[in-house]
Amino acid sequence: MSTSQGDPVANTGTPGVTLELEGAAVRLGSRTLWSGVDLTLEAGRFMAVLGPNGVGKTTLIKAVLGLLPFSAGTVRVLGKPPGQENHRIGYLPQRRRFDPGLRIRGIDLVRLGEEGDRWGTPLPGARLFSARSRVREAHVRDVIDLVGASAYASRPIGQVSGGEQQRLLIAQALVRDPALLLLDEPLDGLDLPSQTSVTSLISTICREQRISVLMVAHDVNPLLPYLDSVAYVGEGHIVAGTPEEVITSDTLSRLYGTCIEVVHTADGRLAVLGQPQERASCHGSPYEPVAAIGGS
Amino acid sequence: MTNLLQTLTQMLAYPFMVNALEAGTIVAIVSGLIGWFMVLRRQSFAGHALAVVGFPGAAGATLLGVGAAYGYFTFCLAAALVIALLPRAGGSGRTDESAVTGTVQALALACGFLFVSLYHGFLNGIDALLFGSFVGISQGQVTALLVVGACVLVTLALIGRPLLFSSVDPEVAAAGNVPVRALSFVFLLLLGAAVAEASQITGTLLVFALLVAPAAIAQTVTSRPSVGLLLSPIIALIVTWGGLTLAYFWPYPIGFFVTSLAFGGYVAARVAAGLVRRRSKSAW
Amino acid sequence: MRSHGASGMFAVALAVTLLLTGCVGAPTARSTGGGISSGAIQVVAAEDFWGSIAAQLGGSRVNVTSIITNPNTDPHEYEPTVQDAREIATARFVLYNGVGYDPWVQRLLAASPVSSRAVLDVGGLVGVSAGGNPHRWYSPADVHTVIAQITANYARMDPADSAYFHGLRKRYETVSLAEYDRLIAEITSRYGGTPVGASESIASPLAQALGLDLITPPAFLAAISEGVDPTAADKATVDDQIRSRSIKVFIYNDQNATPDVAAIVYEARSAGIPVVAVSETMVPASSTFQDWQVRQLRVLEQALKRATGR
Repeated sequence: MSTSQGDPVANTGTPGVTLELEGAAVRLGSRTLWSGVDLTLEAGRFMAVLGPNGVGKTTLIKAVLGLLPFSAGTVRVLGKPPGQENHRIGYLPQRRRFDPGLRIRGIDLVRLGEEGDRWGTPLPGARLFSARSRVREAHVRDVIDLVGASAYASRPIGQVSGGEQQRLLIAQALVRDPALLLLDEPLDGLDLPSQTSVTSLISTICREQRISVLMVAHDVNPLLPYLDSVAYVGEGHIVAGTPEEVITSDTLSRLYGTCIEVVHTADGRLAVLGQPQERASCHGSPYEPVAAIGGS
Repeated sequence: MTNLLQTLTQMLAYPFMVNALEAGTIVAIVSGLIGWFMVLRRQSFAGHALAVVGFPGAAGATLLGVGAAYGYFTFCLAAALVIALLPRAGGSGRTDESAVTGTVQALALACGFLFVSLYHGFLNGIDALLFGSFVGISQGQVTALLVVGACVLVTLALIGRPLLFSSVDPEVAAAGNVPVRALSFVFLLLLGAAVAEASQITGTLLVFALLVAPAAIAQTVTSRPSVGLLLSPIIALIVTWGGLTLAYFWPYPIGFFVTSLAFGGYVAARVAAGLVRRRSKSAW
Repeated sequence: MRSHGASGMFAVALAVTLLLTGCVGAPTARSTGGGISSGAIQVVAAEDFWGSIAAQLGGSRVNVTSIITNPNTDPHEYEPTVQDAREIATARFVLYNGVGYDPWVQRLLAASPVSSRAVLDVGGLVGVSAGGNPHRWYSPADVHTVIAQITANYARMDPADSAYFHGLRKRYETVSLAEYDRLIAEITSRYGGTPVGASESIASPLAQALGLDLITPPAFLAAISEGVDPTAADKATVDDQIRSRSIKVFIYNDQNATPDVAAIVYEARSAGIPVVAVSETMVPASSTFQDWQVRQLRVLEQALKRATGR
């Protein structure tokens, strides 16, 4: 599931580092999506992955999970090649809206996150007979409490709001005590208050439980107060580092091959402004022009 | 009351009724359980398509001089394989396959009638193939239903939880190393077997009465999987026993009684659910 | 993937399976079938024409129920009811036509296995295998064969009344069937060799017994009988035979008159060919076998007389 042409000695990766990519590349069909990528995510840190649509953000997530192969470079996920430590990863896929008529409760979904890969069939009353079941059940309820979803966890998943669904899905991702959370656009479609509360929840979990978080998002601003690092995905390349390093006019212009200006507002927010489809670059970049990334 | 008990005891004195009830019990349990997953996975259309394909199978088997049951099983399983191997547009188990399956259904019905006309003799019982019959079920047939039913149930018992996971949340399940595609494949085969079984009681056109209605009632009543999985076969049993008993006393096709009970139950469940919802809203 | 608890699930599934298997073992001991101990033999005939004969051969010692009695029932599409299943389950003697004419009887017999039950498959008795012409009740020779077998079965099941049964048989064959036999002999001698046409194979045994020359293509007869379309060539031959008046009389089954057959009947009438209607089951249902057959034979004789002038 992964290729790691690289140093045969570095078999287990650096301790304390959840995710490391060296010279990584991914190919879809005959097209190389991005290449020469160096990225490091340390334990307990919060990294956002940003960039326009179609450049390969979801692909990065899927490759880390081992669902797609890396075509070049060395990749270590929790010290192993991608796909081997998936039971220690909590995953929230993109745009997962459940059918409003789907008759299954939020708590069942969370429970499936914990034991859905075990053979067998759920029977009613199992909890009455097995102490192990009772312990597992208590854990599930604890996680639901942690994300603040206890009030609606027993409702069918299709009947709770977008923000509430995301909380439950985060609980599902957390229920196996993961070391790494992979969240693919979890704020997509949520109203602003929900976006803020969900991001704050994720950050709290990240800090208090020392779980690494890799989150794909569209807008960096709501996340800035919580981020330890960012990765910007452009055509053919990914630039990763601290926000101060990466979110500069220089770096982003080079990445996107167009004139991008980063402006710091009076209240500490960042405005990332780009001119769409302009060939003439401020810095003579060799990259091809791309559509501008959004920013408020 | 004693009169009713007496009549029921009399009914059970006939081996053909006992066979019918045994066959009905097996079919109801299998249909209730498989149907619950089928409804959850939104694969009812595939289920109906498999049932329709069973018709030329049964007619063809009669043409060849073997029991209709062989025809049901081979055709339903073969069709299940075909549907399982069709390239997916995306996701798993919930693609819109209606164009292909719709065409296949039309072809299946046409083939069925072709086999009927090729039968040099008198193909009685075409009504039975389409709408069900229960007075001619032999011990051998009951045994065959039991063997296949047991295989289906044992398989389902083993894969129930990962199947549930991959049905409601395929992406996360796949990331969690659940073999989503393989489970979809296996489920379609189980569905084919369940449809072939149900067809032998309700006929190919009314398989829905046992495969969809009890599951839909169970899911209307509860959204807890373990409770739903218990409720669905129980409702299917009530519908089947009720249908068989009514058909014993009144000379109308079994398919009609089973379908009416199933549909009536579904309407009642929906109405009740609506009332409960309205009352809880007005409580605010 | 982990597999804890799988053994638990397996055990439950196994238990359920064993429970169901337990249910399967029980019923074979329960089947009784058999007639009432008062002595009358419960007889079930699938078709009323055989039932009529069986009733007259058994008199007061038998109780005959026929299943297909309604002239409007199409025997080819008959669906057995619970009542039929009950009757077969409790019958001591089941009598049916066979030759693929009534396969539902086999299903009912299989669903209610009874060891002491006597079964008479007419087709098997007279040696017509599956795929052959099922209309054995239109063959006088076969009718006599069946009469002999029924009486033999009755005598075996109720030896005390053996003499009674043999007496009934003698009376039936010499008195009740006298007019039937006489008409057959008369038509044969007077009109033997006359070319006739028919709509379906129901007429074949009769034509053969009467010595009439049935020139309608056999494939055509079989097709109409089975409810499928005849070939265009055969249809053309039939039309030709009517137009050229090569057939003197046209016989058709009025219980299987599809639009095609009705058209041919109309053609025949327009061509001035006498048309004779025969029915598949007894008409009226309350008739007896011999009265019904005799009525039809008389009509046929009149038609032959009109057509040939003899």
